[in-house]
Amino acid sequence: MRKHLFILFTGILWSQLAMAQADIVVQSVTGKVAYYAPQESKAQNVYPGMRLSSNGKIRCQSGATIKLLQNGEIFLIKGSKQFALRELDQKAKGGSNVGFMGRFSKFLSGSMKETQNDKELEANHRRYMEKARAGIDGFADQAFPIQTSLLYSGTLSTPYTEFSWSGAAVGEDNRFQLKRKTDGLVILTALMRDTVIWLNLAQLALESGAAYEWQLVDEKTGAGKSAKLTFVYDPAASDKVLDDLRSTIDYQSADPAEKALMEAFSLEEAGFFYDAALIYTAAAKRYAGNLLVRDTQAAFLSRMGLLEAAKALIKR
Amino acid sequence: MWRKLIQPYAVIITIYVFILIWLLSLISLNLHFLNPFSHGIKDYEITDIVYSRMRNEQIKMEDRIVIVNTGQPDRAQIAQMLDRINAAQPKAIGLDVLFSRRKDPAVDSLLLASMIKCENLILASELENYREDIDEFQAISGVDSFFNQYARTGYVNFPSTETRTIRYFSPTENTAEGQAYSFATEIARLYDPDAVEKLLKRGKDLEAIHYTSTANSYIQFEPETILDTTIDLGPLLSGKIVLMGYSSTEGGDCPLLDKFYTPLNPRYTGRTEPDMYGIAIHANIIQMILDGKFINKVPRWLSFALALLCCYFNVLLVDWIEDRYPRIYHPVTRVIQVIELILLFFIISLLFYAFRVKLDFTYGTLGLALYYDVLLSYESFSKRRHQRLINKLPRIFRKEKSE
Repeated sequence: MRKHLFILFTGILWSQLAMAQADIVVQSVTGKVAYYAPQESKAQNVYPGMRLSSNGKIRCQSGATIKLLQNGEIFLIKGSKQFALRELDQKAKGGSNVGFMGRFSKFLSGSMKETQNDKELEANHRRYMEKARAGIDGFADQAFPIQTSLLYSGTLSTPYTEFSWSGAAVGEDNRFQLKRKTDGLVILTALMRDTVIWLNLAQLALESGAAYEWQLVDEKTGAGKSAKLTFVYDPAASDKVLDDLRSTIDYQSADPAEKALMEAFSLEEAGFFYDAALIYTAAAKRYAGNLLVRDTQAAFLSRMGLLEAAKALIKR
Repeated sequence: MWRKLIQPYAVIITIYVFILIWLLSLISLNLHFLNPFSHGIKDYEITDIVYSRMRNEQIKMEDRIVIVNTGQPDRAQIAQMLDRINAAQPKAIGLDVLFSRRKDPAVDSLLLASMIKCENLILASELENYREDIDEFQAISGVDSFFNQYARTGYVNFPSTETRTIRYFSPTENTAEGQAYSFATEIARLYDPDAVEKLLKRGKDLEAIHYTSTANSYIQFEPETILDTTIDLGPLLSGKIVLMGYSSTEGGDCPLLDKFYTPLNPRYTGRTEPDMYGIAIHANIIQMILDGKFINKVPRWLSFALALLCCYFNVLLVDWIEDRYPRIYHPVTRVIQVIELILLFFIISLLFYAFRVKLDFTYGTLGLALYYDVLLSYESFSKRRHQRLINKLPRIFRKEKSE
């Protein structure tokens, strides 16, 4: 009898677990998204309607987004970091299984709670602060006297990084500020006469995967003199992108110059702009006279907002 | 028992309540604060709250319909996409793009060639120049004759308010060229003619749309995925309805293009941001037709009769409370009024949510809100001795009858 009960209990438990780990359905994809099935190192391209295992992983290329449906809930994933699909359970809001009666009472009591006193009313307005923004997205603000480049945004993976800018008046001192984005904690500040600063990011107290922003400000007034640029520090991430690329047959069959361009392009696609720039520079030196390398590098520089540098390269 | 239930006094109060409602409804100036009974009711429906706040937000994937975002492509790309989609053998293809003029002859010929290959293609068209006197549209436009001779068309017009809130659709319309079917109806005809037969048998000029899905409930393809020849579209599209139209999954360049307000909007009043692309509205209509889950409206006369009964029994109830508990009569009645309004809202919501029955209980709600004040006014009026009119009435019409 006990044995039967044990088998029954185990059976129920197993079926519950099986139900909980339901397949994940891809609802829509924009851009390129790679899927790594469990225990498989080779990536597959993801397309709508595809079913993914909750033990798998995905990686969105730069700018790509994917909407996944699991247990009746839609999840939007973006960003070039690899994402383990089992993390969807943590992201799940839950509570959507409330029945009609629950939703009815929530509706009746909801608006009352939100506005029952001045404090609640203010708190309710603050909740919507992220949704209401008067402005449009953009990159460069032409009103800033100092121009920076997209090279220092995205993900920075190389420890020894050069931050440079242009447009600063001769003999003028500007303050370089590096802050943590979430709470504004100042990581580094330096009064600069030059228009370039070399930083060993590994020496600074930067957390892997966290977002930081840097900007040049007026020494006297503290007003911003350049646009704020945000980057994510992730020291080993670019190696992973390159490892994935190097395992492909196309890469292995390419000639050395093409390999360099493929590496640079993959890094750019994954949001490692600075690393991509280093590879372009190295390739330009090694394959001087190769027009394909020159033109590709020029196109890259123009995409990074360095149009004058791109023009100079073409004229050379 | 019946004697207790039939009280002339309650009848006269009920009549007064409805006369008052009628008088209020005569106010037809376009002043919102004076005019909650006509304009407000036309612009907002109580069932919007059910859609907006009480629907089950768990997303169920709709397997029969697939949406393909065309973006704002050139005709050559649409032709390529049509070829790829048609090769996957879907049961119906709806192309919600208007080709009202000819452009580049070479590209147009390419597109036409792709259209000819599709045996199950429905193109979008528009109805124009409505003549109310003969209830007929004079023209079908939006698609050039170069294209429409090889494919069936369905009109994409929606009956809507000036705020572009889409609640209804018209399955068929009379035109100068004969009967025309809507885009969604035509596609559903290709997929399941019996389901459309059922819809048409209802004989309604306008059908309320039963929204069951947001755009997230449909598998959605971007143009790059459709054109990617490494992907086998066969298993993904075969035997399904493919709806092609503008449906950006991101903000995109034109986030408000072909986007409308629907009752699913999180803001059920004062909507500020359209919430659904036209193609997803078509998908919802097709889903409703295929499932045969239509919205049924309680007849006006029945709503009115229910409102009368509701008001009448409330007067009886208040009368009974006054006799039984004269000291707490006023507060108890007010509390009952509030509880009844909530209960009424619950019943209307539940009827709609569970049975898709739409009960317009505006008069009943107003009756519930007004009956107690009318009753008090009537009582104080009848107690004044110089009010001969009421005092001339038989005693049963006066409050004193129960004393």
